[in-house]
Amino acid sequence: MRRNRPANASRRNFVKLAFCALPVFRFCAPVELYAQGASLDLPSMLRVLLDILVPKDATPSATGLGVDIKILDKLERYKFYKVLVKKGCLWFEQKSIHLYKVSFLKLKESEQIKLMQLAEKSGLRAPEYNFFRALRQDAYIFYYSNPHSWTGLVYAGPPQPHGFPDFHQKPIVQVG
Amino acid sequence: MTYDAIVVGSGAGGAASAYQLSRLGLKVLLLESGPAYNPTVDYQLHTNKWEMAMFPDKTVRQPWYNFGKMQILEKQHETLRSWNHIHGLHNQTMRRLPVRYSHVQGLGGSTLHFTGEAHRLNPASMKLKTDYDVGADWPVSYEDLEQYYVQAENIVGVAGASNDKVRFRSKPYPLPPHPLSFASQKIATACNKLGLSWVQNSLAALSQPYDGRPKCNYCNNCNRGCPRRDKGSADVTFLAKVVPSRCTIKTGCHVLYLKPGKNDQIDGVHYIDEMGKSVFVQATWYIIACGAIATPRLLLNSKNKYAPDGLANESGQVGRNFLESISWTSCAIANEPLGTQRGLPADGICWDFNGPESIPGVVGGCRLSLATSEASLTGPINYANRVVSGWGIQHKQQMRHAFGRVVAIGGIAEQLPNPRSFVDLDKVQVDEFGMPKATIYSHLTEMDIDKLKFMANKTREILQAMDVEAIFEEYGTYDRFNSAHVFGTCRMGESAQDSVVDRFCCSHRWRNLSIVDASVFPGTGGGEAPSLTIEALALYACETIYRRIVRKDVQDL
Repeated sequence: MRRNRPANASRRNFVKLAFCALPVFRFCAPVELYAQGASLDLPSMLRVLLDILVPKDATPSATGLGVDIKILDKLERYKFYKVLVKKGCLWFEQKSIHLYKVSFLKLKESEQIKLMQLAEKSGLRAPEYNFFRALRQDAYIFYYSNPHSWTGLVYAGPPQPHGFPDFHQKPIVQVG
Repeated sequence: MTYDAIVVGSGAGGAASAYQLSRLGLKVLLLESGPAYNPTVDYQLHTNKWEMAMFPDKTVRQPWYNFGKMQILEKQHETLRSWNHIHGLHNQTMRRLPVRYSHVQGLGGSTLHFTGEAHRLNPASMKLKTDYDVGADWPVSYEDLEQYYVQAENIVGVAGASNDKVRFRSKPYPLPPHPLSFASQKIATACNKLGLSWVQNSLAALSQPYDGRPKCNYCNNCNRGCPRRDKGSADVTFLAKVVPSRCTIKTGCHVLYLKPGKNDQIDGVHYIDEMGKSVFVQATWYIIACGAIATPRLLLNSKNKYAPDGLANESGQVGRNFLESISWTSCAIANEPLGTQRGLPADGICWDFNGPESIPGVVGGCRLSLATSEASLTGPINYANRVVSGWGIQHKQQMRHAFGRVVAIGGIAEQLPNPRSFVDLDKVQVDEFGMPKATIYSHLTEMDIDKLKFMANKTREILQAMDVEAIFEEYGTYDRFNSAHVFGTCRMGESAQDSVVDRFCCSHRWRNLSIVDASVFPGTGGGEAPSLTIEALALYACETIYRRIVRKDVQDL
């Protein structure tokens, strides 16, 4: 009986092929796992990403002002946003495994920052850029709506009810 | 109740008409499609979410207009594309993008969110056909309107410097001008270096307490609604002064059509009230004041056997001659703290190029003014998202450096009518009441584009003369339709062949119909804000309308 084996196929070659396929399988595995319903730790990932965008210095970090909670709330209200954030976080996870062989949450901060830089640079058509852009925008909307973020800005809060009776004078540059 | 007049729309024209007619002793019904706004409650300027709240839109209606296909953007005009240093091009496509027609449906109309500029037209821009053989002449003169400008300024409470050499004044402004903000003082210095002037703008914001309203406290956010009532929007001025026993105001009332009848008279108005009930109401006279897009839409939707081409459209001009604001804004970071979140929007202005001959190679002028507030760059969220690039600690540090340093200078120019800009009824789409929506067809000519280039160059020159750190954002109407001021679609004129209304805003044919809004403007002017002219025109026209009603020139209904 004839077998239609590839010309050089042999048991040894088969094992070699299997080993070569392993890294590809490892890259794909998380996708398959997540596709099958294994979930990213979305809240934890968001907290880390947000605190990279808005870290703590003289003023609190993003999570220090509850920005993560606001964004998680937005996820629940807007389906398209949830999809965008999930895809974005999935990208970070996949990239982390691809470049560093570990999960994003286990990376060093400098490595996490590096991935953020990659997302930012990936350009308009890339879904990770859209996620980066949306997250950055929302981070700043929620962060700078909070009075505790204004320390250090020459900004004392909403324009009413006091207005700016000194508008025609040189501004006094002191912290808000 | 029987009404002498029904006014449809409560913006600058409708409010001033209702005021004038009720003051003259007539019984008026004012129908407004949108809701009333409570300045103390509805405007968000005292809350932490003020910056993202913008002007609060309380309407629940579906959009009633859309856009026709926009023109292709040409490579040779790449420098006029709108961009931001962080986000790139605002419009990533190769076709002009319809963003929106910026208006308010509410009691007071678009004056509720207007910047508060109070301008008289340059008399030289009212005779473009005679003097330059372009556009159309106004059938009224500046002199005809002058005393009504005075009246409107007194009712609104306009603060200005009464030294305008171009626009003759019989009386000074009722209020002294506002001081220039610190930022505008710096701009003035830069302009002087360039041989340009930068002067105090005339504003419908009180520089002193006036007429029971407080003076402005310079919060710099007129476009988000004024909770103090110091901005002279129509609701706190004209509508607050209507004679209550003679003027009935109904909000939430959406007029579907007027009913043209026999003997060239309108028989009545059909509207849906705020409870959803269909109502037919009659008056001796009908005044339409819905703005240059809604007014032609209403007229075209009012066709019947007596007006087969739409009401008052015997000339074919209803919806034609659509004019928009051609505008440009350049935004930069100054090299020193200016506190630009403070003051009044557009407090300083350059009128040097406002006359029709002022811009080389084109007919029609422009003005340049402070635009930081109109660019929505007075709060930390917009700084974080548009001004300061990057993220992380560096972003926070840059925020502390940059806040209060943004200065934006904008320009608005005259547009001349062209046959590719018009408003028509949509052939397919209808609103929630089954009435065809309006479709806006907007086209910029080469002359319009030349004016945009002129304004872009001038704003950049001024910012350079200020020695700014960098220009970080620019946007204009070359690649995006985003207009608040629209005009021309029911233009006034001497001849019934090529205009819709006469010099008194009365229909050439229909004996009890007037139109009193910017749709009657034959021209835009050289960038002047239109509300004061609309109000003056309404006061002027309503004196004639009153005489015609009282003399019973129209058959009793």
